[in-house]
Amino acid sequence: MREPTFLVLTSLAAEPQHGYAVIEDVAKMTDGRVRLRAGTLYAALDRLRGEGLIEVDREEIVQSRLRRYYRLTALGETRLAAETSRLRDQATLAESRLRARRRPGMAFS
Amino acid sequence: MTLEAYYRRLLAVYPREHRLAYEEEMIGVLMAGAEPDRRRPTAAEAADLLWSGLAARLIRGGARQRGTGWRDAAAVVGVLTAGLLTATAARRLVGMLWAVVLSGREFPFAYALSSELTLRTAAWSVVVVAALAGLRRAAACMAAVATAIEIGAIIAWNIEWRWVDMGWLLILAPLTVVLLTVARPGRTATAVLGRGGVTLIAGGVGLACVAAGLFVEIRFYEVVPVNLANVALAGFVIAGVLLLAGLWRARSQIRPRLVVMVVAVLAVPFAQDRFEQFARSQLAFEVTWDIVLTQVIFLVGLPSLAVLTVLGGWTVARRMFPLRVSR
Repeated sequence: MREPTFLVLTSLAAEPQHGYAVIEDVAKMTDGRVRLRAGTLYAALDRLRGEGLIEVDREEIVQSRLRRYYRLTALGETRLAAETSRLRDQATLAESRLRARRRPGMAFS
Repeated sequence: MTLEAYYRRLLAVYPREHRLAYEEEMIGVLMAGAEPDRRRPTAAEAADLLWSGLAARLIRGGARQRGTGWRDAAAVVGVLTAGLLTATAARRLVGMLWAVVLSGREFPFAYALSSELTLRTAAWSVVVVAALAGLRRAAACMAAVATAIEIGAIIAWNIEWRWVDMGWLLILAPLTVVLLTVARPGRTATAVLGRGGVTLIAGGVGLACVAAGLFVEIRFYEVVPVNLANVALAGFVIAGVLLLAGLWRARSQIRPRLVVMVVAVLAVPFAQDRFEQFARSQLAFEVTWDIVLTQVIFLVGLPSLAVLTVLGGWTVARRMFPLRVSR
């Protein structure tokens, strides 16, 4: 799973959101490091819908503009949980190796 | 032009279904993300939309092609080209044996066995049989072997003009390998066209082969018997009708794809013929790069033109007579 996809799913995990809110949320979650562009966002949303990981929650018209809210499906929840656990395992592994490096002499053992 | 109009123009890159599903929403997102005084999209925004739009087109195009019949059509056309190559080699073999018999020499059988034509006929026949039997992978591999034999035969002749004469085979043979490789596994020409369809096409190829043989014979007569030329022409016409009738047996969804591919394939020998007429009129004595380049332009250009014409005609026809209700 690529990072934008992971971030979009994470953003929808809390509550249903519309497109622009997802962009803002992702920017906030990553301290402004990732600012999704509309093209990238909708490529991800379209694919995730196709895979059944998200679905349309509701539609609203705000200032004569269409806002469509998306929510995570049960399948999306499972997939996000699996990806999270995979990332955690990797992070733990990396951490333990880095700790080993810092211990003097261990690098040559 | 307003900022929104700029965005809409960029979004036009997306495929239709995508626009129907997301355009309004995306305009909302894009406008929400733009500063109030912005007049035009930024270069990064434009690049992102163009790139994503084209990617969406590619993905949707690919998804749409899946199961739409291109690979079914490839299974049919692959057998057709293999059949054409078999018929071509067989016709030359028969012609050679005929010449041997006429010259009164003995052992035409021994001549046949020692000829590269026998090997080529046999190799392509195996391809046809394997493809019809549904052994797609074996057929594709055998087609590769047969292609190698064709090239080997040209090398063995060691006559420069052979490469020019065989130019069309050098396109059709590898094309057959490609077609049989991409053909849908387990989908034979018989499954697509039915037994009757395959029989009609086989009849068409056989007849075209006989007609081509007649045309070759004509060249050896000082005074061309007019009847013979007419008979050969009639043979080609009937062969064409049989071929069309056979292809018509396919499901209506596959038919246009079949037509496009068959047109492309049949345009190759036609282009070779046109090129030979042209080359003869130039009275060229040795093979030069100019001749090779011209031949490539003929052999690649004419089929491409034919395909574009068919596709263009198809699109125009669909626009003018929209039968299907668009979603």
